[in-house]
Amino acid sequence: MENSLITSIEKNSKILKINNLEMSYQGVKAVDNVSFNVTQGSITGLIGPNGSGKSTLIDCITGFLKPQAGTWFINNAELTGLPPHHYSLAGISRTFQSTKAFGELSLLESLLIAGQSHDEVTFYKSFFGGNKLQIADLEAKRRALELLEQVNLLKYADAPADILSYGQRKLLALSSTMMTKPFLVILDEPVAGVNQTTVRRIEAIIKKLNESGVTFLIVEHNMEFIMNLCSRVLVLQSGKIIADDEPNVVRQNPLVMSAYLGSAQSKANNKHEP
Amino acid sequence: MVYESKFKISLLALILLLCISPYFFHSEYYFTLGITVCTFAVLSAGLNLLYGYIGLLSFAQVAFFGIGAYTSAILVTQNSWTIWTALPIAGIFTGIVGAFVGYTSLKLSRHAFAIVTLSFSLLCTIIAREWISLTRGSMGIPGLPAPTINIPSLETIVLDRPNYLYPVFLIYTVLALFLFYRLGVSRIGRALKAIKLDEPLASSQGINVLSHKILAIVVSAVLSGMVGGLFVFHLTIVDPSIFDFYYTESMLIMVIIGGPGSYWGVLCASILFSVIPDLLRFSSDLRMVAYGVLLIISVLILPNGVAGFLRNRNNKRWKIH
Repeated sequence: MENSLITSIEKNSKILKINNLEMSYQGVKAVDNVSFNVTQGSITGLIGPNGSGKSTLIDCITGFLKPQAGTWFINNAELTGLPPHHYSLAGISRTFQSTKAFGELSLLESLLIAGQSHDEVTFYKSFFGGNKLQIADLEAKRRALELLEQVNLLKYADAPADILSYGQRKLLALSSTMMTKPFLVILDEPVAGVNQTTVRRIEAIIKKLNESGVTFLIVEHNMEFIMNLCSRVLVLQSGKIIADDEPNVVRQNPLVMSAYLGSAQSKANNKHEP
Repeated sequence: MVYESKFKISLLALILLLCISPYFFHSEYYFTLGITVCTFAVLSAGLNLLYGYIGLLSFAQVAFFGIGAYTSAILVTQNSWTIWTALPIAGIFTGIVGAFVGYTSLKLSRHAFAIVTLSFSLLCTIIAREWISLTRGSMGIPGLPAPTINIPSLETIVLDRPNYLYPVFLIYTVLALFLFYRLGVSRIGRALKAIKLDEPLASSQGINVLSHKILAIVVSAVLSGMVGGLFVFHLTIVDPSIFDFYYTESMLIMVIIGGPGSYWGVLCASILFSVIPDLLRFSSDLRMVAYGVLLIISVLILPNGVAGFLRNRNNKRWKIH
């Protein structure tokens, strides 16, 4: 991943800082005074039962929802309240829980769209053309084809995204995030409803990208996937963070077990512990 | 790919042939028909940019056409401007109005946008009828002077007949359609399509949705306004009927049957559906019935337009599982 932004960010610095985030729907708190940081170069998992506020939180910090309170900073620049396209331009890329794709457009076009706001071609030049545009277009195409090859979709480069299976759409979404040259990628359920082979492939791609310097914040229900990938896991329940630790510690946390399995099961488990 | 290029070249050759076809007949009627085709080609390309590319069902297209028509007519008759200076001003003024309509209505939902633009068009009709001191109300502004071309050391050419005006329309249409084409195939056109297909996804990838939408409305308004400004000098009168729903209806038919989002599909449909009503004039009783039947058949056979049919056929080629 060639990204000048990454080189300018110190390793282990706080790339994302969220302070006192609050979001309510008609009086019901979906996100309740949430604060946390994400470290540069890490893979952070965000888990929690259905309706715990994970997707709402992500929608808030990427400009799709307007929270009632809270501030958030990307690489020390405040992005609170900005419209969604600013986040991508600032280096944050995201995927969606309901897998989105530009159905009628080819895979290659989809990736070119994802990348076109992230090179140095101005709005004016993108209409009137010129050498700079030609060079940028060639480079974008080369990169898009390379990414499609990485996710094993190169043979469908000219096919419309409509024909892809669910798992292939997840792979396309992941490649699209890479076209935006991000330094933080937020993945909303990247392996939900996907077969094991694709899960392993997505896992390997994320690891490889992380090794090249991309930071990940992953929302997911697949615990095995989270435990394999993440160095840190945050657990959200009823809009509040109830655990924030290493995966093995979180797995043993009674509050987390209670949130996932119900209190009765949690008590039963505790009873069997020595 | 080769097949597609050959198809486009053949289509372009056919369109060029159609452009010069009025000269084969030596009849003013065919030049008048050519002017109608040019006007609708620009108008439907403008609507296609909004509805086909970006997914905004705009009923304001006819209002931009009418505003351009009234602006150039007023500037020429009341301020003694020439049509060549009045036309760009009509385009700029219509573009400003388009930006205002877009900015105020685009923050609403797509459905609300359709309603706002429809109301705006109706409002324009009322203004044209009621602001008598400016527009002369229902009487309109008749007797618009024929455009003239002054070439130094040559006599002045008065464009007072359809066969003299037709080349002006043709040049303007080619320029306007070239602009629409460039916009459609540029990165901006790609972004517009992305916004139509999935707005949240497009914005999450750094595309400024609002500015792209406003740009599309402004471009569409400017070019439609200018063709309106030119068209009234063919009619030699402008009155509130310039805002008639007939124009909107025709544009919608051309875009829907041509295939929303397809440049060539809509261009072909605009030629075809400008000419067909005239070809059916042999029977004044059955003319509209035949036109209606033709439309129903077209919609039944091609529910997504010609372009949609071609797209579905392309999708069937890609079978993965």
